[in-house]
Amino acid sequence: MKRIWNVIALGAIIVIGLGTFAVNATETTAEWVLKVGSNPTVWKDRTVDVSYSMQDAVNKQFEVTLEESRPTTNLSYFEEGLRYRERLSGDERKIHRQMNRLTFAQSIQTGRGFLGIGQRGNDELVVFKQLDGESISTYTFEGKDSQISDVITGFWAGLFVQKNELNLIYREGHDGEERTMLATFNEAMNDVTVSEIKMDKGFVSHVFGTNRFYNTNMLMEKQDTRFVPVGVGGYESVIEYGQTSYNQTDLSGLYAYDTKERQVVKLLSDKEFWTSTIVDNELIALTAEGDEVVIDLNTLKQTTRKTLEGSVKEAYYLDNLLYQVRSIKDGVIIDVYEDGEQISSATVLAENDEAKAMLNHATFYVR
Amino acid sequence: MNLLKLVGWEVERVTKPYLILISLLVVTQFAWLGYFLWSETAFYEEMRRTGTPDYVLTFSNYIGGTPFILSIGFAVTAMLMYSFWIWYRDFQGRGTFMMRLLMIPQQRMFVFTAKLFTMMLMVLGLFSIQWIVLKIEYIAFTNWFNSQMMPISGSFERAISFDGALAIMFPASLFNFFVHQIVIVLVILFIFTFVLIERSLWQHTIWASVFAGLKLVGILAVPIIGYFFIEKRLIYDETLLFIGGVLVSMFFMTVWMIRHYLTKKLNV
Repeated sequence: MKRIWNVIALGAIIVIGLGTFAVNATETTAEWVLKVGSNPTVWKDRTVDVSYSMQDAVNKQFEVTLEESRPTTNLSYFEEGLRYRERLSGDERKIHRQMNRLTFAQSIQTGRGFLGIGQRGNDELVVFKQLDGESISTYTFEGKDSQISDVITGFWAGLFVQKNELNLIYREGHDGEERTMLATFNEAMNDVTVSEIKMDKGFVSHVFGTNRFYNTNMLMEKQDTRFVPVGVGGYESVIEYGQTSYNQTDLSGLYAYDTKERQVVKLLSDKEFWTSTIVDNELIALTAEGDEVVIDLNTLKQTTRKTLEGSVKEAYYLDNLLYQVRSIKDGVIIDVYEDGEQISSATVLAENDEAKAMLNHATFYVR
Repeated sequence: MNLLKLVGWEVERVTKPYLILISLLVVTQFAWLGYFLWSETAFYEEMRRTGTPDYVLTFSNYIGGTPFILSIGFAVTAMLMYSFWIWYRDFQGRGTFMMRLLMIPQQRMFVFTAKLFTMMLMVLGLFSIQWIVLKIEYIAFTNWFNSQMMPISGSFERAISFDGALAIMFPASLFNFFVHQIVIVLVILFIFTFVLIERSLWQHTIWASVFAGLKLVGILAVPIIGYFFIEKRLIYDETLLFIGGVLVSMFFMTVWMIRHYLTKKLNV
């Protein structure tokens, strides 16, 4: 009997200790509800990502749709696998698989499908495309070629497609001695030409619409335009204790690469921009003053319209729609604008005390 | 003799060393906590005297300390060693004890089940005690620094989730906790398999342990090498499925081997 008491005592310790752990691990999760005030079609197939972040607590994220609210952090391996599977459609799975085989992979989505580029170590440069629903085709350039080697060792800013040809903007060198370069792959993607891009200042740091690594969710580049929106960065030299070091910074303003003159031009001067998007052949940017600037990417003709009145918690674009998020007592109101006009409004409300406690440190992004 | 009696017997045999292990674990961690609180308070006082103290402590600073990590490492090592010893000690003294165990009228697999059950009771007991101790340590940590008016930040959950070992021991998902326990069971099963293969061959060759090791390395190598071949072709959900499949097949394979060697090959 004494022997059995040993087992019972050990079992009791396990029940007490792991019982309190289980209670911690299954604590009530925050719940949210999405209620549409007007124009429900805008919210069909849309998801609001609620993200809670605070220095003292564990970050938490939720997906809120018209049907349900569910946590997306602290998931089990099983739930993570299901969620991953759910979020990737057939063609995206193929692209993820392709990019998984490469390092430093980047891709871009056009109306016809995906085009991309990646490396196998420093030995090979791989370009791939998956267009018109066909299977993925790849072409491999050997790194022994000095031109290819320069592309492989360069810092890749991003991709764009012009006349069915894939273009990669990258830079060589660093710390104030960099050159911005353009590698253009022919339509068959088996040949590449490299040229330098003229820059007044700095270098191209990123190209709008480029997916990095396994992402395939950047906006689709639907049309060829003469001007390709880019971000421009630069180096600031700092002298400390007689030693010069360099910090990389983003230059303010909006920039584009002029495919005709092969140079980077400034679209708008040093205004602060909250967010921007590309719709067909137009770049739409929201300034800190609440103005929407619309720039034609073929002619650079600009128009400005007032969109933002009063203060907002967040403002961002999704395709051609501008979403403005404002705080209310138990959640947020999300107003949706198209061409400067409000077309819909919805609220995301905290359903329980756990959600209400997160409100001050939560962000709400529609996707 | 039924399974519960065998388990009770195994637990009784390990009670003293197990209590010593728990005492060492708890004493080490609380001694380290005492030293940590004392040294950090003294350091903060020093900073307060010399200027504005710009110093915020987190519970992670304590659980990231070498004595804490070593205490957990020691407990893990002890469990691994005991997984061997739980079999080998029955073979001591010309194996008469093991002979008696194998002669009892119940199935021989009862002996294996009792030993596995005992190991898991001990492992879960350690997890349980560590969890309770962590909670007490966190209360002591926050109460002490609050009473000293020293700034602290970060919650208990955040500290656990950011710590490499503790995040695996106590994951945020209960399902993942059970998965990690299955991996622990598998490690114990591999050790049991090694011992039983070695004990089946020891009278035939002095290389018995080498053969046993090679056999297990061969079994492990198949999925590992296979994974390196197909890794680049798999994406995240498929990788999870592959790992799940490997764990399940490893479980059945080791249990089958244990059954085979225990019932048909074992030499005493």
